[in-house]
Amino acid sequence: MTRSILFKNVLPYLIWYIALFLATILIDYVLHKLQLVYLGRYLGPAGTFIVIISFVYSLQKRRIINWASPKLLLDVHEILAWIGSLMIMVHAGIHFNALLPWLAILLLIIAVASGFTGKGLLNIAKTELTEKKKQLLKTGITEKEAEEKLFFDSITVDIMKKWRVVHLPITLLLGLITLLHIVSVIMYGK
Amino acid sequence: MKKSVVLLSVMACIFAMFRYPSVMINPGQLLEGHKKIKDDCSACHVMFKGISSEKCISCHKLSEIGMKDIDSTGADRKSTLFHQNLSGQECTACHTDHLGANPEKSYSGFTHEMISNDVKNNCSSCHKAKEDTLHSMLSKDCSKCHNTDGWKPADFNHDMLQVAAANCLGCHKMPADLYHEKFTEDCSQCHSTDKWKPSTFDHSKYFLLDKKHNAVCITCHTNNNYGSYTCYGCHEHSESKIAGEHREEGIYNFSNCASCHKSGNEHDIKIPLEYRQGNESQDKSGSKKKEKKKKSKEDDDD
Repeated sequence: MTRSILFKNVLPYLIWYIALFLATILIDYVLHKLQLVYLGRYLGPAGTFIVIISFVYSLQKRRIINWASPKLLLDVHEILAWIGSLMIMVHAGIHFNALLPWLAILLLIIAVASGFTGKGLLNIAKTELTEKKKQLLKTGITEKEAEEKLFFDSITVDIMKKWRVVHLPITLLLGLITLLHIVSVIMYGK
Repeated sequence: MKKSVVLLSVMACIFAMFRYPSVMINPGQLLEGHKKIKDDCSACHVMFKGISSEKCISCHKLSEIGMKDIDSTGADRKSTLFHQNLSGQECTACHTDHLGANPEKSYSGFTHEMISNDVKNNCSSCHKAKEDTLHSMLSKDCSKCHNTDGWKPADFNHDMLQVAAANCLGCHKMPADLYHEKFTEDCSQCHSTDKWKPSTFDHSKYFLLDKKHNAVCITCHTNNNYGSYTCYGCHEHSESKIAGEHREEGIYNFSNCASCHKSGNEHDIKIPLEYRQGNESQDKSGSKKKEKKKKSKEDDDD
């Protein structure tokens, strides 16, 4: 209970986020080493397809479908979005050419980060903050003193509260930019 | 509000895509000759239809490819004009642009099967003939050693050389050690044309490298000098011990160990004739000393 929210609730997700970049570098290195770079070309569409499948959760959330538990679909959304993002990032590789696809990658990175600070995580943090405050008040200190003690945790939760403001419009923009990228490839591809 | 920001961003991207395509969607740098058309994608691309060979040919005339550059005024290269026989092929089957992940593979799709046998069998019409010593001694039929899959590996055989194969140094560099420096010709004494190693050099003619003498070369041949050796490079043979043992036998000329000892077997001693003659006087005085030593020993026993 005394451990900070940053270490207990944020760090595991931060590790997953960093792992996304490390895995990208590792897979890219292996593909280059095995002279299988051409596979990266196919990872883009495949990754995009997997991310699109993960949006079943959004359909459930907006009650467009109603045939699975939201908790299960949220887990599926998180896992598939991570895998799909990894494939897309390997597809991008470390080649800085056209701006449009890199804009899409930047949006993807922000969308994944905002996704990790999603509502589920935020709820856990909020509950824990309330619980911590209750425990502190039980020790006899005033509410102001308790808030001072929980200052850092409150700041963390406040930042996390902004996730929705970023996640949905960024994801929408990501989808549209990705669409433009696909259209441009079809337009000017071989 | 949020939707309008997203919509505006997308509109801006679409505008930039068409206004600045080389910045927004160009997947890689264009080849040097194409750089001036960097923002004019439609110079090569037909929307939704890929790259049309007609567009390529409108600048690169088939009858001039390999002979003229687009900007050059006259014939400046000597090359075979095989492209005019490829009218059935798409240019993109062999050529690519925008560099991509492997810029050096700009001609990745080309195979020799695409060209006619006349051209295919005349390698030097496209490839520059090698002008080194080796190739000047060979026939012009490249296919005897090379195939169309790649320049290397080549299937070379020394029997193909038109001149006497004995001139190894015409192609091969002599090893830069002091041992090989002694030989200026006739490498075949030790080496064959099949491979450089192992050589047929027989060390046992000089000294048998038996179990006790299975050492690396520099143990005996110090300073990279294979023309000399020393037996004092190991713990077994110290200079004072060897000197003592030989003088005891009345032998004073023992600087060249291998002249008498052809192996590590202490009973396998073959003293050359010149040593015997040279040591005769020494032998006599040595015999006298031995007898004297023997006598004094007998006296002591009494």
